[in-house]
Amino acid sequence: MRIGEILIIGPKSVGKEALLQKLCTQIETHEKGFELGLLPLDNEILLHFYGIPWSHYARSTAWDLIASKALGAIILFDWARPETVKTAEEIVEFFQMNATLPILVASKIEGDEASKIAIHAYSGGLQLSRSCKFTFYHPEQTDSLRQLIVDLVNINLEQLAV
Amino acid sequence: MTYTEVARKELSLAQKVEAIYRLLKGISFDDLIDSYKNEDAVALQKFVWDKTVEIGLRMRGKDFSRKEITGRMIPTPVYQRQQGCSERIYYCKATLCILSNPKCARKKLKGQFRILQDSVQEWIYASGRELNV
Repeated sequence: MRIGEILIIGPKSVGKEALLQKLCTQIETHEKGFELGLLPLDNEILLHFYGIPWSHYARSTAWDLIASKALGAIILFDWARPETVKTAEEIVEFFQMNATLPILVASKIEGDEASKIAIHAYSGGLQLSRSCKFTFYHPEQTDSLRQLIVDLVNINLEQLAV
Repeated sequence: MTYTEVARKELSLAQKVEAIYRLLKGISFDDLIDSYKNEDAVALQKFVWDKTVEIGLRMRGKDFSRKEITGRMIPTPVYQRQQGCSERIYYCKATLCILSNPKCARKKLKGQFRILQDSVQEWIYASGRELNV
């Protein structure tokens, strides 16, 4: 069995739980608020999603060692809550300094016309660096959540192609 | 820091996230430009220009032209005259003059950023009409 690991990180109430619940077939909650979501793609490949609340514990974890082979990190924030942008920036800064993972920064957007425009206009993500993109997602739409995984895999493929 | 070093500086990922958020949401860059060092302000200009062009290409496709942005900007000779600047005309872009005249260069950057944001907001609005939302 081959395992692909994806870190899902962000402040509270930005949709980490919704993402795991909609995509994973099994979810386990661990101490410190961490969640593990499992998604078997077939008999040989299993995706592990680690839902990580941005806490003191998360900040002091050696992600460069633990997640060195992960497919990447998806850092979430809420478009409507500016304070979550600041937290996302802090997380991005942390991972830029402490790990070499592909990063997808994804903003939760929902309910209004802006979400339709944003998801249409920025599908695939805006490039922030060779290993980092910015995009939007709708927490209630499974397709939109799946697209985050596709975008993260694409970052990996684009890096290989260079 | 030399002109070359200023031009080579790249923003951190966190700074880029902040810039994207402000650009797409239409939040003013003025306070950010004032708080940034010269080299970061120049790097911000390059990044926001690049992203505006990327967004323009995505949303306007083959209809996109840089001229629809630059056409809204004050021509360099006019801006220089307005500021009472006697430097050579090619100095009047933030990468060069920000070291000798940071206040004026920042003023020019703020004006440019407002135009870039307005362009992006218009494309978003037009895209919404096309999608019938």
